[in-house]
Amino acid sequence: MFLAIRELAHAKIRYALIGFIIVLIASLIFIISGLAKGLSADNASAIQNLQVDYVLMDTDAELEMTKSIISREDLDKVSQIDGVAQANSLSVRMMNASINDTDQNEDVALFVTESDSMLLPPVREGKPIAQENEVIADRTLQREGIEVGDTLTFGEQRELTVVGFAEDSQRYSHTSVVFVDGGESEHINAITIRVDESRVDEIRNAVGNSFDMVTREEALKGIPSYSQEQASLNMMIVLLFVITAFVLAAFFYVITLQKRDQFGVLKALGAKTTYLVQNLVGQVVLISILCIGIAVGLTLGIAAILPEEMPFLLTADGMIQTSILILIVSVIGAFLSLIQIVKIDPIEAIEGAGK
Amino acid sequence: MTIVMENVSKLYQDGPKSFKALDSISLEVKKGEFLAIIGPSGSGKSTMLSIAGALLSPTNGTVWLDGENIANLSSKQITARRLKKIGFVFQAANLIPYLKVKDQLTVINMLAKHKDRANEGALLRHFGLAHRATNYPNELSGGERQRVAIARALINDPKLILADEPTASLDSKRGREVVETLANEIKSRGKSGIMVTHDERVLDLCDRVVTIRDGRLEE
Ligand SMILES: Nc1ncnc2c1ncn2[C@@H]1O[C@H](COP(=O)(O)OP(=O)(O)O)[C@@H](O)[C@H]1O
Ligand SMILES: [Mg+2]
Repeated sequence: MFLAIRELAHAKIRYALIGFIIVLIASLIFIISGLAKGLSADNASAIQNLQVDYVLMDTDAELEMTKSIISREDLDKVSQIDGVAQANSLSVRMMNASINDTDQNEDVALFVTESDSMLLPPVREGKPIAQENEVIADRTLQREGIEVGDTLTFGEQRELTVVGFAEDSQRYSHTSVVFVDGGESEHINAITIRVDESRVDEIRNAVGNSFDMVTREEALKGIPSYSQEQASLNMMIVLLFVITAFVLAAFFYVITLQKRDQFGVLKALGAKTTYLVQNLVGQVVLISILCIGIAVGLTLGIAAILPEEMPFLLTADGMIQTSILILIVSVIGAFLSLIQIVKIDPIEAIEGAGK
Repeated sequence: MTIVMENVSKLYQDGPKSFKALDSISLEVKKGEFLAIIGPSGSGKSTMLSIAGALLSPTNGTVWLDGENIANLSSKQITARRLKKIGFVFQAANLIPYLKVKDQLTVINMLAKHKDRANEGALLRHFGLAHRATNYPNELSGGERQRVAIARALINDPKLILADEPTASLDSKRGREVVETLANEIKSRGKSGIMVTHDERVLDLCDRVVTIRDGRLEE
């Protein structure tokens, strides 16, 4: 690192410029990741937060929950299977509700299940549901001015009362979810189960192939537009990683080319190739860590001023993973220069000979 | 004997043709001896110096460095020998542009894993460069740069000093001063020195002069 640090200090402007580019790209990666996570949560947090192991849907529905039609008898059968700890129904209805019979309307996704269902989320304000006309709502509705005790009216027939707000985010298809007890309704969309993980294969056999038995993660794919949304954002992120690698590759390639003579001299004086390689990798790691640090700060700053409604979600885990990935990609970018350094012949230090 | 070359030849393969740059050269340099190599351009001087400096292996013949046949060494060992036993002074000083004068010496000490760095300051004082210790190479005069290069060549206390046209980038007065410095250090420290030069006016400072013509030695 002796050479690495001194060179960085000596050629500050040159390295500041490349650093600036890396900061911008890294920030963009963090922001788009935040957006992808945010949109994902906005589209699917109600499914992601379900306290269940597997979701069963009608095979014909191809994982699109609202198209899956299952009878209550099937739910009873599944709940009898050995190894299934608990089974509850889930039906999803996309509705428009009028608030307290006023002009205020909100789109909501009704998640219909049983009164004692494991699907009912923990409540952070208000109380759990006790009757069929009571609902637990997603906290986003609170931002829209809805309070505990307000009523949601659906057309002529049905009036529900908000009795509590869910602890975690509960969104489905960019819509707030309200959980409601649907009684013993005959047709349901999906069966959710908690199982003894060691008996999953047996359970799968018993369920048969008229149902798709999938994890929550897999069930997300059936949410309209979920996969497309995530795929396009992930594509951008992948491209940004590729850009990072190429920008660094080009930069260090040119720099190494310029420093050919120096590397020749150092090798002639007795520097081992590994020593020179260590210094280059050291430089790349140092620059990357510094730039990633600045980019994290920048991203947190931007996140702080984004409007609350914006689907944007940063997690510590996610940021650490992304940071490590950027670091790895940077080092890969420097690989081309490493090969150059290895190939330089110390005889180049002596002019005219051996060339 | 610090360095002995026995019947050393070098054949360069240039496409289908081969070119004999050195033709059966034998040479010895004793401790405390300063040898000058002169000869027309293209006669093989740099090639010879590179072989003496373990930067190039000969096609035929044997090179003994400090009693060791370098043909028997691995490339790692050869790098280590260059570090410990040979000091190079290149044509244009070839200092590392982003290292301050003192660090030019420190890096060699670090490569050799020397814990005691006292010799860095001592050498700089000896060469009248103490006040330049924190300057970068581009802030030095040509003569100062070559003096730093000589200090760098000496820092590891090598047995052999090799200089490739060390006066090429200097005027004749500064050039002579640099060769004087080299000669003095080689004498007083008991090193062996080989210098390739064009400059006939400094030959009086050397103990012995050999001429290469078309890859052959003439004493
Ligand atoms: N790698 C090489 N391949 C082919 N010919 C070479 C190579 N290096 C040097 N030569 C030739 O060998 C001869 C001696 O070169 P060199 O040792 O550099 O001479 P000098 O230093 O005396 O000018 C020259 O004719 C040069 O063209
Ligand atoms: Mg030459």
